[in-house]
Amino acid sequence: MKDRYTSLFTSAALIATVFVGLLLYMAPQQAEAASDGSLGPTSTGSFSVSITVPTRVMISKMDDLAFGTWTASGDMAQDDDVCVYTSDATGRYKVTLTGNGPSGEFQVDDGNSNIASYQVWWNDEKGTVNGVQVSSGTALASQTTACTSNSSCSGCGSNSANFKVKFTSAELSSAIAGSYTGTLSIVVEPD
Amino acid sequence: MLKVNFTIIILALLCTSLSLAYGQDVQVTGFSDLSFGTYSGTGEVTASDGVCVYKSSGTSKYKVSPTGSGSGGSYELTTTGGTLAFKFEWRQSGGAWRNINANGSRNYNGANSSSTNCGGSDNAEYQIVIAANALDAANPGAYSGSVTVVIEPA
Repeated sequence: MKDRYTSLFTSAALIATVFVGLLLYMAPQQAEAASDGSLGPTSTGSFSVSITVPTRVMISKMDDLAFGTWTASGDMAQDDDVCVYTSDATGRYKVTLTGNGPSGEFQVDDGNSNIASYQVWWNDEKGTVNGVQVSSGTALASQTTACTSNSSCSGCGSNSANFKVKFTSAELSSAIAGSYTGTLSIVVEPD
Repeated sequence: MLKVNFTIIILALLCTSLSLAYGQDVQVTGFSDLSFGTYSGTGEVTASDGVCVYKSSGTSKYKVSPTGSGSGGSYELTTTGGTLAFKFEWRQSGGAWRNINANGSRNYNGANSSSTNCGGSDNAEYQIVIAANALDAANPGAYSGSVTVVIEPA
């Protein structure tokens, strides 16, 4: 009888050992590096997955600015609300505005080497209040109110920034008569 | 008499279990870590690698049961203050990719029965897919996680 109890105990212990071992064998593991499975009733391998997601930014809803014909009196200014998005939860970004002059100057030309210069302001919110005059090619850092909820700025009042272009009356007064065009480039980057 | 019979039953079950395990052993080898590098900012990303699935006897059919390192075994990469979901897919050689849900399983054919290293070639592949909308919504950061794949006879 003692042998039978011993046998029963031994069998139960063996089963328990196998069962616990099987549970440990099948338990999910946090792998640090890829591992192959071993040969057995089940075989378990694992591998790691990694990716770096950088801060993404996007500017959209830019419009062309057509000033029409100067009436020979006063400054001419126009502005445009735009959407600046960043995936940085702080809403922080930097912006660089550049004209299409030979060295990036803010200027328009008539195709005959005649130019007229303009001034540019950037505002880290809709509208022109609190806008900051910028220099061509110089990054304006520490802008902090980009939309962070989605790249189309829905939920952020449709737009989140503004740029303004102004021709002074003095500049226009000295310009040769003609039709002038130019391009203003705006680069938004994580800051 | 009851205890004697109980002992016999347990031993019989144990022997049967050991016999089945010995009869159909499996082994999966060839896993590699999948590193996507830095996301370009556009579209979904995928990465795959080949493995060898060996089965000692019986049909070539086997079962794949993956588990992610995310909460509850989900497929999630993590970084400080953020998570990033992904999909896990498996296919046998020449087959189509088939998604396997986290903590789920699927049966496949094509296990090699000749050698545990499949003669040096792969007979199955696994793939990770991270959707563009998940990446677009992800906070910036370095994400990592893992997948554990259990192979057994089917």
